[in-house]
Amino acid sequence: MISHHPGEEMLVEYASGSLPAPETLIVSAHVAMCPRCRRHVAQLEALGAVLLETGATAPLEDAAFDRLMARIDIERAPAVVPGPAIDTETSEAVPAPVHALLPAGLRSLKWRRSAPGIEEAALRPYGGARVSLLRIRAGQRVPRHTHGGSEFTLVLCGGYSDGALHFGVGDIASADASVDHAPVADTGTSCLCLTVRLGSTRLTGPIGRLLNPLMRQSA
Amino acid sequence: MTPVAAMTDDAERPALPTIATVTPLHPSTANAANDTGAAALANSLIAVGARADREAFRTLFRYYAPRIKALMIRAGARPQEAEEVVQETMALIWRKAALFDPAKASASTWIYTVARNKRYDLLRRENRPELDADDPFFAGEAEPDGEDVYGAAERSEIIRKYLDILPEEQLLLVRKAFFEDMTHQAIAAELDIPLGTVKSRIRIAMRSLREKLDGVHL
Repeated sequence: MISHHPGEEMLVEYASGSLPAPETLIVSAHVAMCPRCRRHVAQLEALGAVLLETGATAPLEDAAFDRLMARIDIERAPAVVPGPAIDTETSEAVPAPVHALLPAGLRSLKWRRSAPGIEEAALRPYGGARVSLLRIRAGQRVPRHTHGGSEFTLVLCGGYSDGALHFGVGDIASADASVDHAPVADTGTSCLCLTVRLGSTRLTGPIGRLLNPLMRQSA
Repeated sequence: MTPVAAMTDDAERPALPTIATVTPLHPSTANAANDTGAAALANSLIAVGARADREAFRTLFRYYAPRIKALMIRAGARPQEAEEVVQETMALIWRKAALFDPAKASASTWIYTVARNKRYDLLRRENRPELDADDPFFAGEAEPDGEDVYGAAERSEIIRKYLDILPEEQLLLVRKAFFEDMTHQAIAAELDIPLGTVKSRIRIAMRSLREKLDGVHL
C-alpha cells in the first residue's frame, strides 16, 4: 500500500512506463505537485536513457531513413486538439496531467452530492478506471465505508485525517476492500481530492496486438 | 474502441523474437555513448530543432533508431510492427526537437522519454499524462524543476559507472523493468522469485544510485 509518496519501486514503474494507466495518472499528478519525486523521476529517466544507449540494437530495414524523410515531407503535423479551456482557479487547484480529463473548469463541473457535506464530480475515465474529484466540507466526517476495488486518492487542496495518519496537499492514499475507515476533513478549509477507482480489468498486453488497427489505418 | 477483452495479460505474452545484436549487460563493455558522443548527439538534436537539419537528424536516426526498435521488440512488438513504431517515434522527435532543453536533460534522456511515451500510448490506448513546465504547481519551489547538483553529462557518467559495479542479478532486474513493459509482479512471475525480492532488489539498487546522484544534497 502506498501512502503519501509513491514508493521507490512505483516510481521505477512510472519512469519506465510499465506502470498501468490508472496508477500512472495518480503518480503523474503527484509528481507535478512534489519536487522531490520529480527529481527522482528525472534521475530514473536518465537511467532509462543509459540503458537505452547500452542496450540491445535491432537493425532497421535498408531504406528506413529515406522512407521516414519521405513521410515527414508529405505529412503535416497532426492537428493539435485544443484541450478544455482551463481557467486560473482550476489550473491552481488541479495539476496539468489531469487537465485532459476535465470537461471544463472546476466551476462548470456537475457536482453530485454523495453524502452530507460530500460532493463528487466525475471526470473522463482513464485506462479503465473511474476518475473523479471529491469535495469534502471542512471538518466533515466521511461515513464509515470500505471499498469494492482498489482506490487511489490524491489530496489537491486542504487535507484529512484517517485514524492516526494525516494526508495533506500532494499526498497519495490507497485503499482496497481490506480498508474500513471514516476519514475526517481538516477544519478551516474544504478538502479537494482526486480519486481513481480501478476496474477489474487491467490495460496491459502485447504491443503487437494493439498496433494492428493502427497499422491498418496507416496502410 | 477496442474491447478490453481483446487484450491479454502477461501470461499470454508471445515469446520474444530474437534480437540481432545482444550487447553485454554491463555498460562499460557495451557501446555506450561516451562524453564526446553525448555532446555530438545533443548538438544534432539542437540542430534538428533549430533549423530542421537533415544530416543531423540522420546522425540521430543511425544511433537511436536501432535502439528504439529493440526497445519495442522487447515490449512485445513483432519486427515489422517495431519498424513502424520507430518511424512514428522518429517523426515525433523530428517535430518536437525544438522543445529539447540541453540544460535539463541529455539528448538520450529526452529521446528515451519520447519513445517511452509512444510505447505507453500504444500499449495503454491512452495518452500518457504529461507534466507541463508552466504548471502553477511548479512555481515557488526552492529547487528548479528536476535539477540535480550534477549536469546531464555528469549524471549519465555516474549512472554508467554505477551500473558497471551493480551485481548482475540486480542489473538484470533493472533492465527488465525498463525494457520489457513488465510490472514488478510480471518480472517476479517470469524469474520465479518472490515479488518482495524483486521489489527490494530494485529498491536497494535505486536508493544507492540516488545517493550517488544526489551528491552533496544528502
